[in-house]
Amino acid sequence: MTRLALLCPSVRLLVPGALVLAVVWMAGCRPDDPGDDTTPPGATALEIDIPPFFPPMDIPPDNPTTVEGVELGRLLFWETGLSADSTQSCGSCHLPAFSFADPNPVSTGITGAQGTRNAMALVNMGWAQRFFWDGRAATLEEQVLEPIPHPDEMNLPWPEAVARLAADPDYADRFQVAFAGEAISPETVSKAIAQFLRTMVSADSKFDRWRKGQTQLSDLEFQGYEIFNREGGDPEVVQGGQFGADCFHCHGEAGLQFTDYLFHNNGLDSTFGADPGLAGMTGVALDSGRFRTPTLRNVALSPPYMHAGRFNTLEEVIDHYNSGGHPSATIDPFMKYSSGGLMLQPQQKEALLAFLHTLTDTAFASNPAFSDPH
Amino acid sequence: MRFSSRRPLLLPALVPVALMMLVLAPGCKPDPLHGGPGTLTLTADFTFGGDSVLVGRTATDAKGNALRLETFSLYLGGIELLNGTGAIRLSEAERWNAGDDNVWSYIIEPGTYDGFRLHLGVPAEFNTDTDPTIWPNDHPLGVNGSAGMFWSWNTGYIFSKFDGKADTTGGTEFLHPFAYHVGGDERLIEVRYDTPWEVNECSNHAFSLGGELLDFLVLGSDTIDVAQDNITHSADNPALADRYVAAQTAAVTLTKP
Repeated sequence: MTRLALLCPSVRLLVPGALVLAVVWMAGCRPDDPGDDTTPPGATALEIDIPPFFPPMDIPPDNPTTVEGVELGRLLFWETGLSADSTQSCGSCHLPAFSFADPNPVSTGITGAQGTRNAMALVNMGWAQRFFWDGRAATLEEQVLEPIPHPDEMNLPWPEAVARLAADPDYADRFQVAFAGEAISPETVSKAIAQFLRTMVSADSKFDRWRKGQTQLSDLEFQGYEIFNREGGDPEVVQGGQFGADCFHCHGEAGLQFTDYLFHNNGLDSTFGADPGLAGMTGVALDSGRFRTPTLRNVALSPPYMHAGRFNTLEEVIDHYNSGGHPSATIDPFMKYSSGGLMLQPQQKEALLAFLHTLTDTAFASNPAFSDPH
Repeated sequence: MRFSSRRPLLLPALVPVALMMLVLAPGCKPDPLHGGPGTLTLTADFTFGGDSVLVGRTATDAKGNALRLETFSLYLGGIELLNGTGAIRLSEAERWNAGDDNVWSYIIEPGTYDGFRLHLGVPAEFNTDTDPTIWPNDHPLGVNGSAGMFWSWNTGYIFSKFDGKADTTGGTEFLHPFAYHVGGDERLIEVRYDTPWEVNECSNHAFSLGGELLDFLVLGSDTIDVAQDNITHSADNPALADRYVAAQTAAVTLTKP
């Protein structure tokens, strides 16, 4: 690698710092190795297995994965004591059977207040980029900080949450071991839960097994895979149309993530007063109606669909894309809103649906390592 | 900075980098006994309607269509010095993105070079049948670094992406989509600077790549009309992809100021 932003007169000044940086970086390259100096003393480094064809998982240097941290994170994820009335945990809205999503369009908090967006599936979060539908959290640790004190969710102010945990001898001990004497704080709570979430890896769907050469897709499933990866539209109407579903542009299989982690307006609405999406964060009008692309892994397990759960079934989702969506100033150019939609025929839709079901990993949803330990 | 639990290429790559820095650092004085490295800075600066490239910016094309830009991204790959013994690779690939600095610097050895070259696109050895997971996530060719610029492992990377919406009446109702997404090994375009040049110790050398995006739609008498020829992803519409690449090639300039 020769890409070095060095100017010659500065080299002698920069090199020592760069060397230190390189050494530190190399030292941190394997945070899961026993004895790694980023692992808190007394904690046991845990290596997360990276499935074939998956990208590397980036681990924040200040939150290396440990056995104790993951165990603590699992307890906290399922801890109802982290809601004001001790009735809800993270797992109350992220249900395992639904790929850790909420089967309701929007979640209901402890006060009965309802959120405005669907709780996303928690699958392969270790690879995710920019969290929440509008990307307002840059890291998994940041994302975890929000639901506990949110008045429409668990409604427990952080000082009270920390006090409750500190008053529990078991939690106090666990934090002591997992974070080497760091005080219990919102940050350590979020670190522990983030560590747990990074272990929630889904890579045992039929598609995964097919990709590894361990099984075959049925003819219908393979047809659906081809439709998934073909350009949409009638070539007589849309240049380059291949009568495909055009899914791959945003849900591509690079790294087997089935999302580009970018933000798109997929034509759900023509106006965005109800929810501006990314524009609510950026203030940029061109971001109106744009939401983060969710992964399609376990999509069959995690209805309802779209940011506010407006579609109950995958059939409805396919019909939406087949329609081309509602034109607007910010609709994605790939939506076939101006050319009559995708024009998928019923048999093609059936094939596409069959392919989407190959992304289901039931072992993930029922993995006892992710279940409520309380 | 983040660390990776599986980084097959970066770790081995850092060792020679660190060693090279150790070797080069003492020699960075303009001292004939030790020699010293020079630097090469590549700046890529494109325009859209004469202004800097910004998402949401509008411009009018040669056919009178009003275009609103939503994406312009481009791979600059196989960046190499040329000398009598062949090519010295400085980078596998960089990614040009609107809003980024789009300036890259490299350490280069003193000497005489026959030229400098880069490619618009990703070199074949890194393109098709290559799994992006072999790269660190934030590498331009990695899963995250290539976000939105990768088709699939067997079809490779999108070399250049220029898309948005148009008002084909020249007005401000931007509802007509256009998308020129080109890729494929056969569309890898070499851009060269073929004048010999000397690199002295501690000297800085700048190269500048540029072009006007609206010119990517015009080559001589052949003008791509977004009203008619508005979508290509290369394999689905290779003729339009070829026209676009030809115009892009002619419109891009590489200079050594």
